[in-house]
Amino acid sequence: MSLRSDMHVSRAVFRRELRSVVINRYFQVFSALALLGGVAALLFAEDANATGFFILQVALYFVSLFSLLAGVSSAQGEREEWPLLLSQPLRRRTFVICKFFALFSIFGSVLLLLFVPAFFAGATLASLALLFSQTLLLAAAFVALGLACGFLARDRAQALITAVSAWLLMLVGIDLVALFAARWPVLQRVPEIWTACLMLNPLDAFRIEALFALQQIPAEAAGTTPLAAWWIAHAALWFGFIALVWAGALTHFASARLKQWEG
Amino acid sequence: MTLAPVTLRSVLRLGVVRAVRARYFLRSARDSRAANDDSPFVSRRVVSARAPKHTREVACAPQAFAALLLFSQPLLAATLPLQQRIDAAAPHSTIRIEAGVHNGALVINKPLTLAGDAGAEIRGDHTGKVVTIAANDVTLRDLRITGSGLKLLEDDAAVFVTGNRVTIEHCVIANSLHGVYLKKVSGARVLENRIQGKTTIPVSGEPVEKGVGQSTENCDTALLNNWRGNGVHQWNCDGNLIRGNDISDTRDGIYFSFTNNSRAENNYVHQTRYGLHYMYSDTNAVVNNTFSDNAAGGAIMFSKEALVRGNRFLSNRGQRAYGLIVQSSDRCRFEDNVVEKDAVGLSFNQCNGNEIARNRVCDNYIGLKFAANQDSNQFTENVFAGNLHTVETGGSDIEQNAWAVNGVGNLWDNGAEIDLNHDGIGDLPHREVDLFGLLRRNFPPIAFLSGSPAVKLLQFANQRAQIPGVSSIEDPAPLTREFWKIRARRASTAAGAR
Amino acid sequence: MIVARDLRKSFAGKEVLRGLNLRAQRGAITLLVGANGAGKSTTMKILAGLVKADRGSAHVNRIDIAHDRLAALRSLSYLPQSPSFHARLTGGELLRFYGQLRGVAPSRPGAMLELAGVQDVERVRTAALSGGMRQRLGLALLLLPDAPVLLLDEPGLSLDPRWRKRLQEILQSEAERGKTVLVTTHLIAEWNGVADHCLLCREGRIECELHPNDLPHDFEELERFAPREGDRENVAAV
Repeated sequence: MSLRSDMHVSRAVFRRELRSVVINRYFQVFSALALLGGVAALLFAEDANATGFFILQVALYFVSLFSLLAGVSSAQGEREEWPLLLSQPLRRRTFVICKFFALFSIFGSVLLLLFVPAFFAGATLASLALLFSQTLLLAAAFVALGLACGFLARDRAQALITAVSAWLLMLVGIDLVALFAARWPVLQRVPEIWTACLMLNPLDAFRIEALFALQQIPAEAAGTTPLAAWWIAHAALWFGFIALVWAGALTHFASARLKQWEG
Repeated sequence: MTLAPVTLRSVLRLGVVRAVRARYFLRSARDSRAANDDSPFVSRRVVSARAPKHTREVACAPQAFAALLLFSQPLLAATLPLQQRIDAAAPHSTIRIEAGVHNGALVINKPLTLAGDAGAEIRGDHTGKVVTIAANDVTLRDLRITGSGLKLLEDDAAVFVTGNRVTIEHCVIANSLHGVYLKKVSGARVLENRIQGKTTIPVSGEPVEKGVGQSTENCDTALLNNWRGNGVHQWNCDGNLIRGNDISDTRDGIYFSFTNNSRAENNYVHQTRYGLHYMYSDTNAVVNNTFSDNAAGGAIMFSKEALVRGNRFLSNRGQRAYGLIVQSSDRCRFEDNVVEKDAVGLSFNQCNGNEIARNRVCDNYIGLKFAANQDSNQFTENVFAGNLHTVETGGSDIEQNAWAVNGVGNLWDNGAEIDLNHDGIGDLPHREVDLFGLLRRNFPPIAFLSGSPAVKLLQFANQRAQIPGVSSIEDPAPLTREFWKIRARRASTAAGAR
Repeated sequence: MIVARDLRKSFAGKEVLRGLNLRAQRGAITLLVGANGAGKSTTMKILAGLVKADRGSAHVNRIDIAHDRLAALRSLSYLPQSPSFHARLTGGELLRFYGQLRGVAPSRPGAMLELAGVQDVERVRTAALSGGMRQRLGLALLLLPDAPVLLLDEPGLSLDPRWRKRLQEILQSEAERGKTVLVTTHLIAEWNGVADHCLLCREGRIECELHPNDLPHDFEELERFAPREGDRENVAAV
């Protein structure tokens, strides 16, 4: 049985997940914040560029966090039902993948609440569409991380602690280490390694892409090494790639964890 | 508008050379048509002119033209070569220049007013200067002037001025090296002109100078493949007024070199290298101008006591672009300017005793770049908001500068805003840290951490407890957002009491 | 039909199943009884595909569950002990989901709700249901796919006597329709005369088969029960 050959199973899980997400409190709070953010961008941003920058900040902090929490909640929310659910003729991998796509779809819809008002603030459709797609990819990576943490942990509390720790590590920890490591002369001689570490972190890849490509902030680092120059020149492409790799790898990890579950 | 009187002597002289002139007019009219058809530049204000119909008819019939010269004074005046009319004109008279292309180069060596009809153009032959003003009290008005040479070493320009009290107003200047070149003059007025630099380099045909890249007077030239001159170029001048001009696509917009006591106001300078460029120029004023989309909005170098007030330095982006760069300049005042969306907003290097007050430095990549070896600069009532890096100090010692004046500091958008006595001034000092410091130079990829939440977190921490070994600015009296409201309220209360 | 052979399972070094052999006939109700920790629930979970046996084999409807788990699961329906559901979904939503998952006719979820006497929970979130109502909703879910093999782990614990009786009637009727029904329970006496077979599970294996019409009256009596040699031989034959 695969996704293609047994569509009714996938469809059933997908629909149930959609329904579960819609009634999920994290998601409801996020939807309200997204709408609030969109309206705030419309009302308070001075011009289209400011709107884009505002949305970038919202995406960096809130979209990543809420998609992570949605993933955790989805994985842990029905844990007590697993004996019933997993005794059904249903591949556990299908179950996880359907969850991922349901969350991804619904984030795609909810992010419109954030982006559509920005369109009326004067931002161009092309730039908004690019920022929207990148934000959605960021959400995908963090939904997958949430699912992985959710299926990794034994209970909801442990899952939340694991997920938030991972988020803080990616948001702040890696950059803090990078900032201090940059003072190390040995590392200064191999800037490619330092740069590559940042490139592998989807939050850094998103930030660099959004700042230097979408916001067109002059990148003084671009000319320092060939890798840096390549990154700046292909920031959007790289972010899309790394976000998909993270989403795929973490979803696979989540399904592997669920396969090992014995309840 | 009066026409210059035509004397008998000038008519006779024309009779001698009429055959030559006829050939000249024929070629001129043909060239004008061809040139107009190929002209890449179309002014917003003046539609490119063609030679008028009557000129072409006269050119095709030299004999008839000679007869007309004898019997029609007004028509005679209109069809004489412009240089002849200038030479023939009485001092302080006005020459009306009809629509159509009039060939340069012209030399004006007496006080005159040249006023163009709509569509009047003086076109050079891409060598030397198009109009040379070598007399005092000359006015050029409502003209389109194009086609100067491209030799920087010979100061080629659309309008080259060596006379005092010259006025150039409402002109369109294009397809030339320098727009207006003021050389050792005083009291010149350049008003409400549109100056567009030459944007293309000829493959062949137009004579260009080998080895462009040096200049006669400390004036940085553009790149070797960029042959542009300045919009308004001043050298060794005094008391000029540059007002209301729209300047673009030149090397520098308005250039001051050894020029004092001059004023630039209400100009719009865009798509140039430096919108405003001072070199060794003192006690000048730059007021209410807009500089956008340049490599640097303004560059004030080796100059003293400038007043820079109410200007807008906007969207000067690109690698190493600046809103306003101040180098080795002392005792200047920078007031009420808006510096927004630039790569680097304000930059000070080796400057002393400057007053920087009430400027808005917002939404730049680096808000304030403040290098070493400067002291006694005073910052007050400035707003630093929305900058990705508020300050870059390069790890230097910057303690000899005042970040508050008379107990009034600046507004830092990431400040804590603790103001228990509600006077609009924060109760705790604000520390603005440059975490990258010397790493910018030693390890440039550090810029990839721009806008990182980790950097923001450390900056936040530094405001509470100073991180040892990290360079930071300390504003002892940071302002809250309510400062201006509170001050206005107090002022109105005090006025009411009086 | 369910056949388990030499099932062994350890958790964290503790052996829970020690070579359990079991056979549940088609068209009959088979009880699996024993004390806590005897291995009843683990056996049920192995049969339901939730736990993998360390050794041995389990066949459901002649399909080896370790070899083709999905095919085996398609032929069974499992009601776990104290079933829990997604707290914010309603009974109707839950039934429809499992119905879609098992590919049943759209009308069947409603019919099963009616059969289990919980048609009122159609629009009620499961978090608001009492233990008994949740058990009955679980019963509706058990019967929903009309699977040939039914596994029930301690059913009826939260049900009132009337509904425990009704559960037995329903299971009897399902068995009469040719289904294989395997039930673990502590409420042994209530199944006296209802079940067709009763297997006593002790220390990770089936110790003997009890007479279905002469089951111990209470749990203590079951604990004291000592099988005869012949009973052990019967089980060994299984």
